[in-house]
Amino acid sequence: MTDTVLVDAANTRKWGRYLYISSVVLLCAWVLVPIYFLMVNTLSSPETVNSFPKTLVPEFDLGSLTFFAGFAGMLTALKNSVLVAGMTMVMSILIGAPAVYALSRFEFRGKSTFRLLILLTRAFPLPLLALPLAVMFIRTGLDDTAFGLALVHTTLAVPFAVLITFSLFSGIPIELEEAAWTLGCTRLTAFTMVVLPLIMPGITASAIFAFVISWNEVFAAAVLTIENRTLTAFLLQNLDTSPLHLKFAGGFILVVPALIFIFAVRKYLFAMWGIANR
Amino acid sequence: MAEIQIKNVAKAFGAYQALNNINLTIADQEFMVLLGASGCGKSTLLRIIAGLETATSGEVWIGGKRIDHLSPKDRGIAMVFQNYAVFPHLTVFENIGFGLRMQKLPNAEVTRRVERVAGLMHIEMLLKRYSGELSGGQRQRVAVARALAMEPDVILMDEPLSNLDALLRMEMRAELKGVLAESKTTAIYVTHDQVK
Amino acid sequence: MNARYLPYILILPVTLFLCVFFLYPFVLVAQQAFTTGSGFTFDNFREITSHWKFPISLTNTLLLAAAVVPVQLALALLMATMVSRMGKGRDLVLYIWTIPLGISDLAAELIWLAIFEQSGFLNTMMSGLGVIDKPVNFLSYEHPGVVFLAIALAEIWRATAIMLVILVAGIGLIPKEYYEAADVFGASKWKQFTRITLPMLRPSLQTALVLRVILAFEIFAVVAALGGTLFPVLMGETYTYQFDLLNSGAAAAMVLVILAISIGFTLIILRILRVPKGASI
Ligand SMILES: Nc1ncnc2c1ncn2[C@@H]1O[C@H](COP(=O)(O)OP(=O)(O)OP(=O)(O)O)[C@@H](O)[C@H]1O
Ligand SMILES: [Mg+2]
Repeated sequence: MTDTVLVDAANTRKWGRYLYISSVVLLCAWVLVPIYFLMVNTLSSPETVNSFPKTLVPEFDLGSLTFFAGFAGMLTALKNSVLVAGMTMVMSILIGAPAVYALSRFEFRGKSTFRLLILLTRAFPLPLLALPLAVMFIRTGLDDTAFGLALVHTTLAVPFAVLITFSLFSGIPIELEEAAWTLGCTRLTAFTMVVLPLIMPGITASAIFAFVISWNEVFAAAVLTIENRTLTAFLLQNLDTSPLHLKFAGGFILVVPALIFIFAVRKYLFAMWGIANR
Repeated sequence: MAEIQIKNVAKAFGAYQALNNINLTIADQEFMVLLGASGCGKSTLLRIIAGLETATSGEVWIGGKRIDHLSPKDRGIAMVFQNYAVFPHLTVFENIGFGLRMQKLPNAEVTRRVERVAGLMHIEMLLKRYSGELSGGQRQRVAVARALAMEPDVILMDEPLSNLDALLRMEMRAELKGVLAESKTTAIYVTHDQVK
Repeated sequence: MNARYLPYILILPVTLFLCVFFLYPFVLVAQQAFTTGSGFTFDNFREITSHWKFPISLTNTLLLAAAVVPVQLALALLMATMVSRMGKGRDLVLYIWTIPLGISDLAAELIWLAIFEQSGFLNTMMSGLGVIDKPVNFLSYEHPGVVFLAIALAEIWRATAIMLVILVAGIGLIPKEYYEAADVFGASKWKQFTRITLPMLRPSLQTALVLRVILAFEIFAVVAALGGTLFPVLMGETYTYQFDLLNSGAAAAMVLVILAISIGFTLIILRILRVPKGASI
């Protein structure tokens, strides 16, 4: 009697384990397979891309890719993208972090209103703001500059930065900071010595997010730049008129940096310093 | 000289009156034990003395100086927190040496003091670990060691030994009293423990 | 110190920044929505709401959000709890699952186009299995269900990762003692999930949901690529007004409508998932 119960329990556990592993694998496939398909298309000759049925392995034809690599302006666009995204990342953290600190550590009048307003800026289709801003930029000479575009992208990214860091910040017990104060820290040094290392993963997460928002943003980039196109704006401009196989190659060019970037910062995204153990 | 005087201190959290006109004098180098039921405001009083909480009314004096307006770091106090507040991103060594590093003491001096207090608290073998790798009682002793390492004029301890077994607690308390008497520190020691 | 003013000083940079780059252009847009050359009117709103496509695009947008967001939430929660007790391989799995985070609308639409287009991989596989004998143009008016499904799948694929990141970080902040305590009391894994993880995760859930819902109302690029004109959504109509019809007034009015809907839903989510003061960890 007890034996069967035990065996049953062991069986359930084994099956649970299989179920668990297969769901993990399935979910990985769910993410990877579509990207794989895009890769197959990119590495196939134009004829194969437009033919039917498809093979499920790439034939390693580099025609479409070399076409893009040789495209005039491609490298400049890439450089612009990195530049704008980098500036956006730095600006949104510098501007957002103090506000997050205020939100999570002080009780002040208007706090909930402020938080709500920050949130609600995201309820606005921000790319549309690019149009009135374009007028303003032309007047101030910011039009068609990387910095001008980075300012707009920062507007897009700051609310996210504030939101993401705020929820992580609130999880850090204030006693840690108080302990630092009693040990001779000022508010600032307590922040840099204790809080900052603990929220670094959160800050990194929102920095990546800011970078990615800027990297991927098409609309404002297309409206606000002419000579200094970013990669997405550049591709959008050229994809509209391109045949299918070039579209896929363009898409692949957009995906690769994303793969690399997320890989480079993956540790920071989640490393939580064992805060859970405190 | 670090005599603590608490004059007419009151604290209200909104409508709730946590402390009511407290008057208390702790003589220089005295080891004062505060005993009280849970929720009676012991931690609140310590936090007011440390400058982490502002009193609704009243005055706090240390060593003949009024200190209400000073920030915690300028009060010459060290505090052991009820929930330890051991920094999770630093090793035990760096936790204990944290205050000394803030004072920019030379490395050798930091090491000397950290090793001394770690020895007192019987945690010298844990110096390389992180807080997540400690037991509750070990973490608590790190918190005490961190305050002791500061060699402050006044030490405020909020149930610093509550998580230790009875034997170790008795031993530690005796040792604490000895060390503090030797270093001429004024101490406030909060406890639930009736068998004092 | 001047602790009374410190928080205001700290929020000043972000406030100033948003005033110049958000509020100012926003006021201009709002102004545009309420004028048609001759003073204050509601004409723009009357124009857009009376257009035959408006109810359709409104329903489509809401329907899509209703179909996509709950699935994403469930999926993100599932993935986050799965990795939370994963030993080796955790880093790799998390990396794979967060890849879509870096992928733009533009790239995502191309990825899913490769699958659903007439000579695409779905057709290849279905004919390989003998379900169909010649390629079907799925993304046409004959298959509105497939169009909807394709768009929903692409959205779920693309935008679940952001929720996952927020939730994984949030779960990391829950002290594991709570689970150990629950184990001692004999709570099942499911009970632990509903009684510990979910409540403790409330701030992260709030953030994740608000973000996703707002973005769901702004959906545009993926829809445009897969559905084209077959599946009008609010944001797409806004762009049509602005760039094809060159009617900035109507576009501005559309924007305000989207804004109103987003604000409404944000408030509802904040209300439902309110975190009582002092209840956070
Ligand atoms: N931030 C706060 N807001 C509102 N009430 C508070 C706050 N902090 C403490 N209190 C209340 O003040 C009272 C005193 O709290 P305190 O932490 O000083 O108690 P204590 O004597 O240290 O209790 P224990 O022995 O359980 O640690 C309690 O009733 C508590 O509910
Ligand atoms: Mg207490």
